[in-house]
Amino acid sequence: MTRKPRKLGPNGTEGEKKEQGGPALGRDTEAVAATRELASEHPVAAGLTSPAELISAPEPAHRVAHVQACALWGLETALVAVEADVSTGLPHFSIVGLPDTAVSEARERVRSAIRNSGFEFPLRRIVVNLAPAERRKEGTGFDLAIALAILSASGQIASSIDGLCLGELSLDGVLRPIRGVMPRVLRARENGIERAYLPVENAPEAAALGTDAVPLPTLRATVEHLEGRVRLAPAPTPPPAPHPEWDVDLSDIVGQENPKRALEIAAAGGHNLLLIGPPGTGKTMLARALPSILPPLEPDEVLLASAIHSVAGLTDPDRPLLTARPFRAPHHTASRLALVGGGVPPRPGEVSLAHTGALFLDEVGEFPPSVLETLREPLEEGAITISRAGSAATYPARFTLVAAQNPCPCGRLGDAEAECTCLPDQVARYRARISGPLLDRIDMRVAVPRVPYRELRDGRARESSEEVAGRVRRARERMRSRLAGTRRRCNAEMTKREVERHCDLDAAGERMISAAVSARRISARGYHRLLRMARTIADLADAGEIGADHLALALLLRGEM
Amino acid sequence: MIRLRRTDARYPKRLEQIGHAPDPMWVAGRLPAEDRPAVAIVGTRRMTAYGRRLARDLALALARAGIVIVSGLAQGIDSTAHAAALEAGGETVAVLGEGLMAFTEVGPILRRRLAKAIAERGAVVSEYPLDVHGTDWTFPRRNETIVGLSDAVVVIEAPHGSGALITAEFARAHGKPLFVAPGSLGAWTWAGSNALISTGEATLLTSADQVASLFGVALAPSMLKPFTTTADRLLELLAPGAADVDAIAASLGIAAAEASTLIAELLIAGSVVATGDGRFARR
Repeated sequence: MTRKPRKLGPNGTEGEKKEQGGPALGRDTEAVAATRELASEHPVAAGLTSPAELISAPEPAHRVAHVQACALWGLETALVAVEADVSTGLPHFSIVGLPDTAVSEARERVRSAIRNSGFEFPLRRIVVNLAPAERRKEGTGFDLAIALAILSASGQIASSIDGLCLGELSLDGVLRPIRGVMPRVLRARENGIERAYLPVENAPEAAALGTDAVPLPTLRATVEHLEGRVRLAPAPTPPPAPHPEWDVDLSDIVGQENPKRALEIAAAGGHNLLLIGPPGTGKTMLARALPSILPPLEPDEVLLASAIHSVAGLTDPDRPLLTARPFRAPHHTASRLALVGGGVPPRPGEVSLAHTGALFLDEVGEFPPSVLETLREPLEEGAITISRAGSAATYPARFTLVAAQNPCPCGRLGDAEAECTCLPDQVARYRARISGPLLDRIDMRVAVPRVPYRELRDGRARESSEEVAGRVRRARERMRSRLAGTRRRCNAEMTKREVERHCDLDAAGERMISAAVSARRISARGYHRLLRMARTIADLADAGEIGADHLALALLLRGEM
Repeated sequence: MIRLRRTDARYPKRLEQIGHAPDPMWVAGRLPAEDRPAVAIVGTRRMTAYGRRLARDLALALARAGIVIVSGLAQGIDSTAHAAALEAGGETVAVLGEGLMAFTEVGPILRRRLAKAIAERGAVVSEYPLDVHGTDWTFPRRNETIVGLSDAVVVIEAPHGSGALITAEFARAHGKPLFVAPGSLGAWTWAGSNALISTGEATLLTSADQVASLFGVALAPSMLKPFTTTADRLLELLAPGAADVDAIAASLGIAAAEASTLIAELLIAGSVVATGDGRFARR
């Protein structure tokens, strides 16, 4: 569907003019030549059927300009050829090719931007087509491509435009950043387009992907650059980010050996975790230490996770590519839309921004039940599909869920230093705020008790995040080699069949699990979740077979029965 | 669901002995035979883990010996006693302080389920018309009915002002044996029941045998036994309430991994349960 913008052939111009044998009816000979050349190759695109017809055509000649842009739906992209045709007729400017409101409004922005940048907005009949024309185009990213196509079609830009053009225009011709540059540039690269013209703010995102990214301040500067009068230097590839600094290190947390163990297991195997404890015992601090022990991002994960951030407009210009797994902590007042994504066009929500990383829900009982229920699909599928009238988008959403909750409404149940005043029914109601199906997908329920003062002051050496992260990394490597050839990366993602194949127990472990099953202490679903978790615990201990002690810890951490 | 008048042959004879026997009385399920011994187990709604364990152990032991457990189906001690009686395969009678249908309409879902289970293996009874909702005055009168349906009364855990103390008052007024379980000094949920012991009006409860011997019934020795193994020490450790793995390992002086394996074995054996908040308690 796409066509490269054509250069004018100076030789052809002379030769064909003679052959034509009559005065050119167009405004300038170049335009005539362009049309002729185009007509000879693409008669239909030029509105003509044969070169012979061109010769006798009474109309002023013109040309169709092509500029490359890219459309975005969710994370899905498609190259779009922006075609502009400037012809005689009553002054008119229309955009066809299923534009949405934001694209239609580009007419007003482009008109003003062209005028205010010192160019002429042709007072003729202008038609801009966004091809392929069958899918709805969304957003403001087409402004630059439309403006350049019009300038090119009206002969105000002579040189070819050979890259992907993205950007929103302000009325005075300044280029504004847009969302979702990264997936669009990736798409262009897949199609062999190695250059991108982008607003200054977006250039690092494209440069980080290795594309020749030209940062454009204004429409005027863009044209100067394209015409070779002022060269704009390509954006430098952003330097690799330094080793990330963590807010909380595990060694900052006193005591809490069991919760720390659970965090380590969650980080290594991707198992979901619920921390329960009285207020002020450090549930939030524990959760915030999780990023410091998560395994490093793998290259393909970096691109996808960064692209999701780009679509959400959350890319950090200094560090366009994510260097660490994301850790998202939405507040409990977050709406369903904010959590799972949505809107028109559908934007990724927190669950997708947490893809490859962790989603932390503090005070999980305070989230409205309807919001929590929406987590079931991403927890099960690793993706979320947002369907609205006329648009649907699927975003990946594979994350480790870490939730924190008080043990009861007053928060003092199980606290040695305070007396709980809640009635049993109140506690039951409070716990039931997390529904059964959701609770079922939480692998670990861990108590975070109050640490006695004397322990707070003992000053003993505590294990640092770096040491734990090393164990996590090695455990992940074991999982990767075990799951090599599949798309799954960690134990929590193993299918039931893989659980059967990879979770070998030693004799004592076998005895324990059969005792648990025959005593009906675990359900069928619980059985597989338990084995996945025991596999992770064994991996962390660098053990080939799952032992009874690994299984015992998994049973305790699962904490239901 | 049936409506029993005093003139009805099925009307419990025991109730004739109390001052104002309810007339009529609504019964869901089937009342146990008149000659079966019945013991009321009552206590606070805000029970501690220790109170819960005592109520459960006592009700289990008595119900296994064929003694009917009577209580008020309130949350806390009452429900624990009913549930334990059902678990032991025994019979139990729940006396409501509201109409039977009012309870099924507004009662909490968990106890509605319990009420259904009780009606299948015993009876849920009420002296109030079907649609009367519970108020401050309906519950004390219900307590007298509990006493009326029982041969002895055990108060497990009661703070000052608890309804269980009213039940104890009725027990003395009607001359029924009254046992009270002792609790820790300073624990407010036990203050009322401990005070009752200090007045000498009640017998201090030391074992289930003490209650069973009133009816000439011998119990299998289950409540107290010497502990020798680490598992026994662990169960003893959990007697006052739930604890998390780290605390258990520290108290027993063993490594966390060893404690985990031990707790897991007890979980599978069923003598320890997870409380759902990451801690573990005795069953």
